[in-house]
Amino acid sequence: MAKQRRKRGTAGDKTICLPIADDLDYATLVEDREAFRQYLDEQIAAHPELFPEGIEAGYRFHGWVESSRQQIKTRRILLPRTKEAYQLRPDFVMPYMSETAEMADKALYLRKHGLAFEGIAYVLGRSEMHWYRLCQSLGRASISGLPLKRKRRSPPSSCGREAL
Amino acid sequence: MEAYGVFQQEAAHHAPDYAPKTVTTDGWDATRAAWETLFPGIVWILCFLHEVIKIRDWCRSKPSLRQQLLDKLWHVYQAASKRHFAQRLRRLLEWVNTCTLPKAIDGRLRRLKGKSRFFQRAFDFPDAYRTSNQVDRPMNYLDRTLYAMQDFHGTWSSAEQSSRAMALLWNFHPFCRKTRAAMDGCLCPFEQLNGFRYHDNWVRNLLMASSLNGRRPLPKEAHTK
Repeated sequence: MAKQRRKRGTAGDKTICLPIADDLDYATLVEDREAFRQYLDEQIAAHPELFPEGIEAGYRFHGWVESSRQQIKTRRILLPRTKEAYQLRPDFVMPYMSETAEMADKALYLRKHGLAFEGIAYVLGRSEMHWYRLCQSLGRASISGLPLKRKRRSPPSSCGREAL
Repeated sequence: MEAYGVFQQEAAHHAPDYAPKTVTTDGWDATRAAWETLFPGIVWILCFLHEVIKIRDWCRSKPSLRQQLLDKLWHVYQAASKRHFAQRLRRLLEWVNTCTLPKAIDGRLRRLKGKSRFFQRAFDFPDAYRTSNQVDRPMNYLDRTLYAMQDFHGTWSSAEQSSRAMALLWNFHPFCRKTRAAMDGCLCPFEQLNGFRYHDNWVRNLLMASSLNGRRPLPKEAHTK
């Protein structure tokens, strides 16, 4: 009998967004295994909330992902304890490498101010579906997990309501 | 119940020991029941602003009465303690007895007496919100955006994803320059809540915060500076 396949999780749940300092050359860093490991360790120490639980116990590099859209290479890591692999995406590209953060910045700003996707495509180029998919992809993330990064900041109470 | 359940599940995953002490909503029983079922032991506070708005809307054609009532209602709201609140409400109801008000407004004001204890609960929790206008502001944005795009056009799941994306955009959008200057350079609501930001660019800040889709329980002590 064929082995049952594991249920696919939500896209992005296994992607770590790695902070990349503005003065750092990512292309060189990602190729240099030792320098990359050192940089990654620094980031884990500085922002543990961005990395999976158990990463403190160690990780090992687990291959590459090459993006033909953005022409960049990203590394993958494996946590031996949980046997789970994660992709390390730099913070200057959007999920699925669909767009650079620089362009997404402008598109999402226009979207926040209510401009239609057609309007965004007129201003920034590409198709309206491209910008639609980019905005939709944000909706996969956790509503409460994204904005709240410190425990003591949890609101003491909540307020919910229906439309006035 | 379903919608608040999503919040409860995501919050429980992110911070397993998170249990809100109070919730401030309008007087709709279904909302209240949902919160009390999802978070047993939660204290329900009735939003005072909803009552003020309901009464205000009944006297749109009588501007002088409208202003007089608003002043009296906010005077009750500004009471410093439960005792003060009850006392000011009694004075208000005595005033209602002495004057002739339109039937609908009179009825609304008299109903405040029965609701008084639900308003007063807020005095037991000094950090609790007494009105729900913290939620109204983002909902105004949601209303306007949905009106402009003539609501949703796709499937139920795409509509859900769109509204979640709108909510996240709201949480990370950069404040205007005037607000930033008034808030000592605070970039966005995320920074306002957490007290730090990952990056000066708001999208990169959003992307970093969305590492692992935000689905990682909070570390015991975040070391982020």
